[in-house]
Amino acid sequence: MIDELDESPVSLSALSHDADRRATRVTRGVAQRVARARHAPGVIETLARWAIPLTLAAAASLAVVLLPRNESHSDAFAAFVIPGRPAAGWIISGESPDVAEVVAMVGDTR
Amino acid sequence: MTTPCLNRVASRRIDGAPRLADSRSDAALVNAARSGDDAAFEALVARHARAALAVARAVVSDVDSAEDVCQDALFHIWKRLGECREPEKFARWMAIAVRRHALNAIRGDRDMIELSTDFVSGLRPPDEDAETAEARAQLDAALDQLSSEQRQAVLLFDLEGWPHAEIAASLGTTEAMSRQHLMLGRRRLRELLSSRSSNDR
Repeated sequence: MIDELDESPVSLSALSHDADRRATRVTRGVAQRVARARHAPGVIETLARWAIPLTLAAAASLAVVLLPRNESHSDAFAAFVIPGRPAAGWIISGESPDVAEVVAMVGDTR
Repeated sequence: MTTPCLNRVASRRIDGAPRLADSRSDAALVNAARSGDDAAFEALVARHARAALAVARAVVSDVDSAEDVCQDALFHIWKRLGECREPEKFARWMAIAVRRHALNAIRGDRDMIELSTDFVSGLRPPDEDAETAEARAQLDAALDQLSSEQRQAVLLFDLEGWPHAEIAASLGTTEAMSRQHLMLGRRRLRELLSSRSSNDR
């Protein structure tokens, strides 16, 4: 072979032990990253996890912008902090929720 | 002269025959890893990590950075394992992918690299004697002076025992050019090491 005739190799044995050490570390690091990636939530899971909070937040923002300003802030807060019928009713009908009803619902859920 | 014993050992690695505990071929391991067997992929990485490191080291001259690039490249290879059309030639495909990844890394696409934090750069390992550490430092410094292609040819042929056909494929060149890179790399390495040792006297 040309390379064998023209130039003999330089001993690289001093690198061999270091290469083994690094290879072991790389193997371990890759295995850990693969395991982490396996357990990380996928796109669908992430979207599903955030879908309800994001929808509620968007609805709340929309309602605050669109609904009449004469509603009290405490009513609006009560309606949107407690997801359920009063909030939905307010979004659909535009009628302010009955605070007593909201308080009663909170009492029922606790 | 070449080191035939080393070459025989490494040729077995190229063929994917047993080197570590897992006796399955590269093709079998690739297919198992594609089916979700992470242990199979780990066995593949363990089998070829030294060669992958040599390729990364050829592109990224700093040996510690090369280790990070190598780890990152192998993780991306895991994600793209479905693109390996010839599982029996995994080593060749891996080498090409690692080289490409390393080239992207040094071109400034640093976002691709997630630096690991679990190594101690530049420290001599506890089980390495001072003489070996010195020899390794000299070799590392001399290797840094070679071209990327020469470094890859020298490391893969003389350290990992890869045949020229595989080295040529990993470099995207011909076997004749691979031999040329090896010859020039060895010559330059010898010159650098001898000039360094004469300076030390």
